Amino acid sequence: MSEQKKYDVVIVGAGITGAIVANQLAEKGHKVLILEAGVKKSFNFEDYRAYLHHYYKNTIKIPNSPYPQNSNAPQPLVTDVEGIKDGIQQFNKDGYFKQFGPAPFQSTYTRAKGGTTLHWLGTCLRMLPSDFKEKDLYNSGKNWPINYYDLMPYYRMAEQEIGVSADVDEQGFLGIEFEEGYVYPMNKIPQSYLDKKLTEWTDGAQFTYENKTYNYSVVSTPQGRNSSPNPNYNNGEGYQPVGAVGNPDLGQRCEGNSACVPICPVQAKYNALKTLKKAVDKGVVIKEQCVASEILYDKKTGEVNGVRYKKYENFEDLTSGKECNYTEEVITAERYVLAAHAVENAKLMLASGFQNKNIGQNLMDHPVLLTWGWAKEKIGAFRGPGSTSGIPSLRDGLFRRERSAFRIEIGNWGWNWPTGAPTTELQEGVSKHLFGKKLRKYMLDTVQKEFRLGFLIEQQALANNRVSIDNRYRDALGNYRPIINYNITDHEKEGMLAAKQFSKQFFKTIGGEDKTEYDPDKGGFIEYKGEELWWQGAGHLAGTHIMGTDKSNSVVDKYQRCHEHKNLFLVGCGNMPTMGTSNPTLTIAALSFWAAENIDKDLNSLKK
Amino acid sequence: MKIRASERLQIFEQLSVVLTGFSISEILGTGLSKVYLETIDNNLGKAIPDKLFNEFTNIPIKNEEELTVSESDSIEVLVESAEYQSIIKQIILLWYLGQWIGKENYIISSQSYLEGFVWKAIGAHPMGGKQPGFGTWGFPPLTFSQ
Ligand SMILES: Cc1cc2nc3c(=O)[nH]c(=O)nc-3n(C[C@H](O)[C@H](O)[C@H](O)COP(=O)(O)OP(=O)(O)OC[C@H]3O[C@@H](n4cnc5c(N)ncnc54)[C@H](O)[C@@H]3O)c2cc1C
Ligand code: SF4
Repeated sequence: MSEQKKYDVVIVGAGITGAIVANQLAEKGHKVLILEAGVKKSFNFEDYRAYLHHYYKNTIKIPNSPYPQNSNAPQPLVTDVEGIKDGIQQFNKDGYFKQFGPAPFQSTYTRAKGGTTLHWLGTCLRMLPSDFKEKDLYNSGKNWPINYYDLMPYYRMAEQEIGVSADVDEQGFLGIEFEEGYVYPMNKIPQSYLDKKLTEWTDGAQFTYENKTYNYSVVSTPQGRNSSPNPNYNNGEGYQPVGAVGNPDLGQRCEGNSACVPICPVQAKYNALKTLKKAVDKGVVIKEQCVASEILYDKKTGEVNGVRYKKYENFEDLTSGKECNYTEEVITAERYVLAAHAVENAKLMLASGFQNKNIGQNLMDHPVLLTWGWAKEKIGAFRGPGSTSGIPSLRDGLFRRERSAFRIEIGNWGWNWPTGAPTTELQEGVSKHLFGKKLRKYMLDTVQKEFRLGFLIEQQALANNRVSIDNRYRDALGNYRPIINYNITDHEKEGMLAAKQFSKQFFKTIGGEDKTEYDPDKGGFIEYKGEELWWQGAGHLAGTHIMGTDKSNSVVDKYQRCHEHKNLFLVGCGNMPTMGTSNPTLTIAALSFWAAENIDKDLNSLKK
Repeated sequence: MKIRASERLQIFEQLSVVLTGFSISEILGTGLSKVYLETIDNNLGKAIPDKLFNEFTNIPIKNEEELTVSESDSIEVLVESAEYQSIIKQIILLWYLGQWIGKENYIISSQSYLEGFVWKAIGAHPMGGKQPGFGTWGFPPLTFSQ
């Protein structure tokens, strides 16, 4: 066999989706190679620890702060979105994205082996059955070519792979169903003291909006972090938690490090290195420092016949614009999979001259409206995982015809996200000339009562929100930088308005103090119908190559295969035609299991 | 009064007790006072700190951890004086955040981040370190005991 024919499948991207497809196909005996753009890293725990120290020493604590910038495979940063000047949103000109607004696209991802799950929070909610047929039900958004029940068995696989902790009795709301007798791999992560107090303080109360009432019920969130294994899992077989890669005794249980975003020090939280390691042990080859730059295909049949990539050696040089040493190579296989995440997948297809007009369109995120305040007593902020509960009651309803649904996430880390607490409080205290015991008391009194709410607003798929490319904007390796056009509509703003009203009533109900105050100069600030609103990105980049029934409305079919390139499969959030209000990764993990099954069948038919 | 080099570190530690509200054993327990004093000297030179230390030693203090009203008044004068405002702020931020915030802005070391007093002050632990253990976040918060 020549070097070129060595593999059955080539996958671009070693994140969770690429890792699942690789591991599943290797399990079935196929030869798999992954191209990964990030800097070479071993599976040694020390290599991971290096990220942790990078985080400790970084003065700017943002999701990407443990993961060094690499001009060969740059990544967007939340700090690239600057303030609003004279009514116009400003962007860092040297940022990786070239943003044309008018609204800021505020979400990021990580280009390193293991991908964005290195810094995800680990929330693992299933989507609601209604999220799959929004067009039919609400004449809003789109329909999926598959439904919740089609995905159910794959949700189970994803929950096993990630190692999800939850109590199934609490999760069957708004139409979510489970197979008879199903339990999650591990018992639920204990809810925070804050969650318990909010449950107590909202008991029996209701939220009224537009003449409808909703309950405030605080529900524990399924999470991809290790808890106590459920002995009843898998018909009584139980579940073995997966600890840190390279140091499996570590991370057997969440220890309350409170740093899940941007890095769990012990890997009690799932990251894709765990699946990648299994895949490599089954013979999967990961070619690191290889940035895919073009998909080669037959212009007549559409059949893909190779992936061109740039292999770089020199990764110390992080200043963009300098000469980089790289060599270009082409790799071929029977089947190809793009798993480089929504924006990179779309960019790669555009750079290769793919003709489907839907590519890059329908870019979505969950704009997160943030509100914050004080509880009526100390609840002990800054302890535990970032969020352990949410309020689901406004995730579905007939109101979706007119406005966005949202999920409410309760944040355990005080005002860290909206205001930069506790550093801000400290600086305030010091500027008031407080010192010694008085300063300590000031810090304790202000911070211990803090909490915030995050409203994940569902965004609709629209053609004008898109990723595109332009010859003028390239990175150090000469690859395209993504161009982003992005806006939010009145549908979403109406959702935000409802969220803001919810927040106001909520703080009253719990006897707390609403301290939400928006800075009109900050990116994401808007005024709508006389109400001030401010939203951030959720990190849920989606929709750039949606699935559907044919090439006029979509890029992939329900099997996750490109309509126009039969040996090319796409995985990840790019395939999602609607966002719903769940964090997307559990769903795309389930879809990756489904995709792997289809690729396996396809390869087997070849081999026959 | 000229401060002897051997006494300098000790005076800095005593001043730090007064400014941070943490005990001398907590200050010493971090193992960072020497590095912090060097950081101050490297960034500001020795003249300003020496002057501050001198004035501080001129305030007769019986017990750094339990200031009397008059002691506390004298320190307040020092803290609010235009001359020392900036260095005092920097000393507090060093201890609380493990970070130098000045012309240059940097975290001294991983250890200094983890030992930052801000986390103890708010009744928590540094984000990403000194994990309190499974499920502890479900317990009632600690109350201020000092
Ligand atoms: C702060 C934050 C918090 C989040 N929290 C949650 C959460 O709680 N729950 C949830 O469901 N989701 C969460 N997410 C989203 C989640 O991280 C992503 O949905 C998920 O990681 C996407 O997986 P992926 O495999 O598609 O892409 P990625 O994980 O991004 O992996 C893509 C891989 O492809 C590689 N790659 C990119 N370009 C190329 C190229 N040209 N050639 C070769 N390789 C390439 C990258 O280096 C990377 O390794 C969060 C995201 C952020 C930013
Ligand atoms: S709380 Fe700590 S131990 Fe638990 S998942 Fe988050 S970072 Fe890891």
